[in-house]
Amino acid sequence: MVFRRATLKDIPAIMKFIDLHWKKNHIISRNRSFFEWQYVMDQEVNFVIALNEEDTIVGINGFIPYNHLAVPDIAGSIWKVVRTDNPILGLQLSEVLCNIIPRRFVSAPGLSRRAYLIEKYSHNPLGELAHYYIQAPKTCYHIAHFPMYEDTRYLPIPKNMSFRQITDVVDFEEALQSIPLEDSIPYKDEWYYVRRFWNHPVYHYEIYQVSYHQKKLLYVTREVEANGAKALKLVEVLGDYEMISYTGGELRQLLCQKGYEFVDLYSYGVPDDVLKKAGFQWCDPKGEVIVPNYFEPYVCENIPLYFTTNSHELLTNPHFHLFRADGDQDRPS
Amino acid sequence: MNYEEKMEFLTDVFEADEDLTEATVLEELDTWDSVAVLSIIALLDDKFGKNMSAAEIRTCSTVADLLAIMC
Repeated sequence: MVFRRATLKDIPAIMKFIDLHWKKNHIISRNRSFFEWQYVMDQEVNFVIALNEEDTIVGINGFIPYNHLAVPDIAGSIWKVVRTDNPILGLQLSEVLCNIIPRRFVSAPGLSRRAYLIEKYSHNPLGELAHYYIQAPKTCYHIAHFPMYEDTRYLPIPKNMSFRQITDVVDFEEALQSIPLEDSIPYKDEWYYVRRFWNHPVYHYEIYQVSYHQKKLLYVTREVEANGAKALKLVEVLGDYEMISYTGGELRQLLCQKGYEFVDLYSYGVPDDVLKKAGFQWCDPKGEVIVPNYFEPYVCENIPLYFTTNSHELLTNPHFHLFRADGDQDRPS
Repeated sequence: MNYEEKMEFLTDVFEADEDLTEATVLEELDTWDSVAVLSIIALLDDKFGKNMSAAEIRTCSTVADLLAIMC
């Protein structure tokens, strides 16, 4: 068995492996340009692979860097092995990734149920993203399930605070430069944000900027559709989280203007109190309210999003934040 | 862990679309791989204080065999 980092020449075989052994006809296996957007960086392929004696791939383990540093923070991605005579192939592949890929912190939401079980019973650091939503006032809902319309109180936006959509990449870059990105864990640099959200090959993200004097807050959003209705996903929030408290009114305006059923946010590390001040409500995964998260295909269920990291201390670090769009999440299928 | 919890765990481990039964033959499951074995090793260690090797777990042939070691 040979373990090594994949090269550009391995891409067709990796895509075929994904199609055969991970998910049939997934965009990662059928669309080379999307694969490269997701996994190729500076001509390097972000997979480690295991090859058998016939030089056939029998295991893959992907990762996604959050920045361009020599020792970046990374997100784990597809981890899949086929059955072989080697009973610890999956574990070895994971160890090889740790050994040959320099990284500071590893963290991303979207653990598979199997990976979750391994991490849980191995006592590795595990967490769950909190799920919050604001419900639009409607008489019936086609995406979410709300037993009734429940209005919530929210703080008004202060004088001199502005809320506007960013429509020019230069404005987006300027906004990013005014936010101390390096303070956050994982550290996502300007390159990451522009590529991830502005230059996404399939999805269209809309970005809203909240400004108050020198302070900035950015909401990255994506519209989703199902059953002839629409909703808004807040997939990433960056900047001064205290400012979230004052955006409840503006988010409600967006809901009404665009006919969304709800806006929701999965996050770890964003203080609950600022979300509640904006009128967000916590979505109990086992509760009566259902705020769906899967749209390709649509699934009318509450979906808990779990993550693991390589540091127990990170779970209580106030600079550690994760969102729905981190790692390989919020991608087309 | 009661019986239902063990079966739920195995259903998740094998990503079984349909309900597993005790008679399910492991060799017939695509997901009877090293990741499944690793999950079971971790569970046995955590819940039952057992330290079993991958090779030992590989000797199981049915879901019933796995249930038998989960105690």
